[in-house]
Amino acid sequence: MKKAISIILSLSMMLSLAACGSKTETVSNGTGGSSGSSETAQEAGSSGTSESTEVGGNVVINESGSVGDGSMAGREDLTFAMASETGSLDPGAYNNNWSFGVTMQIYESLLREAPGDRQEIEPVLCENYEFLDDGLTLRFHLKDGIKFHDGSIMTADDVEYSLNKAIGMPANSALSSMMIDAVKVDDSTVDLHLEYSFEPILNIIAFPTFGIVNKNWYENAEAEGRNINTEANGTGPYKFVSWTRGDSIVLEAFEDWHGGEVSIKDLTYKFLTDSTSASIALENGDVQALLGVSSADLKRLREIPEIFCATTYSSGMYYVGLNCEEGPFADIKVRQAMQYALNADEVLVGGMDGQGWTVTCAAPRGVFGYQEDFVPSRNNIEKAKELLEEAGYSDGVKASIKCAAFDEYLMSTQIIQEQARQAGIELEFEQMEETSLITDVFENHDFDSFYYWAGCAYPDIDSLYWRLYHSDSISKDNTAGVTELDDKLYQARTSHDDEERYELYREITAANDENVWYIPLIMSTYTVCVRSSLSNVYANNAGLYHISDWTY
Amino acid sequence: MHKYIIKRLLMLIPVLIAISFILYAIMTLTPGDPARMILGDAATEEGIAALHKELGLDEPFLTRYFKWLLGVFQGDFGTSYRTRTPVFDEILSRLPYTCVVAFGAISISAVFGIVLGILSAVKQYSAGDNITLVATLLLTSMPDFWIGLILIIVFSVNLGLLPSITGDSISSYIMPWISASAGYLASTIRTTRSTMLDTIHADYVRTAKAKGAPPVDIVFRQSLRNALLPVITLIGINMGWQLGGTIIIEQVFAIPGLGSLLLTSIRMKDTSVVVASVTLVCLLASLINLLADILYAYVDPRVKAQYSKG
Repeated sequence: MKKAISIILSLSMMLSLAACGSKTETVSNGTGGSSGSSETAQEAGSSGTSESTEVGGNVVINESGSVGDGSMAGREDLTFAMASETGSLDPGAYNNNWSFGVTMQIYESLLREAPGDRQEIEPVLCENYEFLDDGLTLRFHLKDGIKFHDGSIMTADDVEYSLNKAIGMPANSALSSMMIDAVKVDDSTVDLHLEYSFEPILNIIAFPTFGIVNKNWYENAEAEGRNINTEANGTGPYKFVSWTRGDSIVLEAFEDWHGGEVSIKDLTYKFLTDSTSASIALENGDVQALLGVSSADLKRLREIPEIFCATTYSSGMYYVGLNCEEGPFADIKVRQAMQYALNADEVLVGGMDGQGWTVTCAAPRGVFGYQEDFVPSRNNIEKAKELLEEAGYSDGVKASIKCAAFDEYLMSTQIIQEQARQAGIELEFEQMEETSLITDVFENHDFDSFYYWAGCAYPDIDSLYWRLYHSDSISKDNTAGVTELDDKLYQARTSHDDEERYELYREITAANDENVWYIPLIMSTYTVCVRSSLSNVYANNAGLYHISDWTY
Repeated sequence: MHKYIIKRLLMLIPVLIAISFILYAIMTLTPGDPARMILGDAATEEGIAALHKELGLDEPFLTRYFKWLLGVFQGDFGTSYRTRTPVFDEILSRLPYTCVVAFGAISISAVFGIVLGILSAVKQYSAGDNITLVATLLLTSMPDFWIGLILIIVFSVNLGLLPSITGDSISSYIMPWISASAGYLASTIRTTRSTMLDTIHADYVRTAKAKGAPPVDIVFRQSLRNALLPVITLIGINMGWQLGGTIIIEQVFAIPGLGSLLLTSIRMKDTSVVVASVTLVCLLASLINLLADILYAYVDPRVKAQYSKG
């Protein structure tokens, strides 16, 4: 008996070792080429298909909304799974899509971005708007009869209060830097005063953190024993019902919503932090929408006919930052060598499984000003070696590269490390907690190089370029200490001539390519996965999903 | 006996204060800024400074700690940086879920572990005993999250019998209980079997057999009471591990328990929540172990006599 058990156990061990063999994967890069292996073009959902455009090797973006398959026609409830819990129901408290994804159903802004096209702005709580005083004043003509969830009517006082509150909220400090104040003109008009004319201001006003609140309800909250972080009173299509900490937030349709009756009456946000569990729940039908899926689970979900994956460009890009003031990268030739050593296609394939695209400039595709036809100086090992020799490092140079300990950074950074090594730049790989990386890089400037992500708050290249290149960058992202582009950035920001703006951003891009303050490399996708029975689901890289538009 | 219990309870106080201080220091002195985590990567210096002031983060570490400790003695565990709600409310809303998972898993591992351990010991070297040993080896080897995912795939996705995420029904806890109890079930079986084998072969048990005592009496009256002492210790320790270690099971099954709260709070550097949660888990684990010690006294009168002396 003992002998039999021993034999069985030995066979089991051999079997488990055999199962550890390598498997082949089909991968491709995001620039239309391939890395030598076969690739499969992926469908953008099945019966819930929409018009789509193939950009890059195997990633399809969806340009129109989903068309439901009718399998759940008439259904009125939706459970939306998110990878992280909402922080607060106060619309200006948090600036991440786990929070404003929920608050935007409860609180509305004066404007909103059109579904599927972030560049098109629609009025919501105002009839119309106009620019006055050469763009220094934005005047809103408010709609009448808009109700809050408690039955009170929205007034110009509420709008004035809400905008001034939003301008003062720390979470909005980067977005509202050009705003002076909001002033009530009369009972149906409110002016927003700006320090300078700013083209993307409408996208900023459309952001959920500028949601309109009830002034009395908000100001008297503490006195009346209300917590504005856990209770809500907005004008949106859904009103707050309950919040089970760590589990879910329940909303229900607001019967007096000015936009009319919504199709989905019961809306639940469920917090599922594990991507695999969440994707299984979607597959099972326990949830009907899912945001925050890992690339491994996304690949699997795309192949399921009952699931529609609405994909678009993500709102940010991954880049290598270099210390231009001290250390080995203070020498411009070493920085240029580093740039030439890198191959963005390989970083995309190895680091992101090909789920994304390379970028030509320090901005994601899809934003205004993205330099589609710019050819960055990359992917030339011989040139890199030449430059290192000119800099006096013919025997190579040692430096370090820091990255946050998340999957999306780790593989890519290792590939960058290997590419740099081939050119003679030995990078010591330091992975760390994201909070430690932020402290080291952005606060203490204690780094040689780092690999990180930066995102656009609004769909305009100004959002990233100002942060990265302006000497007064009020966040700390200008790690390269760039000072010479301030005039160009200001001119581009305040111009209303698209061609002029594009040309100015082209010059800035070229300056970065020459000075190598940053090396932008790749960007990922942004996907919301839903059951194919849902209609009007558009991809949105800011996580701005108006559930009131969705229907089964 | 009462003096022993009171002494143990009083000893807890300095231990918990020391734990809270160490945790508070770790959370404060390690890199990372809660204000920046909350405001995001586009946060401005002014915005961060304003939030520091609002959250009290502009005060020195020791001032903040002693203010927090003073608040604890008055029943105020502080306010969460992340949610701006009282820490006590946050923990209270999560604790029941963790307790349901932990107590359910321990109950399964204790009941089945002891029964199977007894059977294995009584029928040593039988086919059942060998199967049990192999099963314990497998249960110990498989990670609990892997067991959980396999159960989800089989019972939720393929068979559609159980929900894949936790809800209000008892059926939604079946898979979490099984996943969480697997490793502890194996250790309880092995420990019970081992201690039972020791007592079954003891002289006084042989004497009882020789005197014609029935098998049920031999097992349950003569052997089990002595064999249970190490098992009680093990269950007490396992309970402590369960309370603090349900994080992974909570992630897999989307259980809004203390583990999930802890994970999120650590990431967001929500110091008050982390310190209060961990201190609470330590307190609960200590109380459970005290309970285990008290239980010894009722299982073994010799232990009760020792407690009474000391």
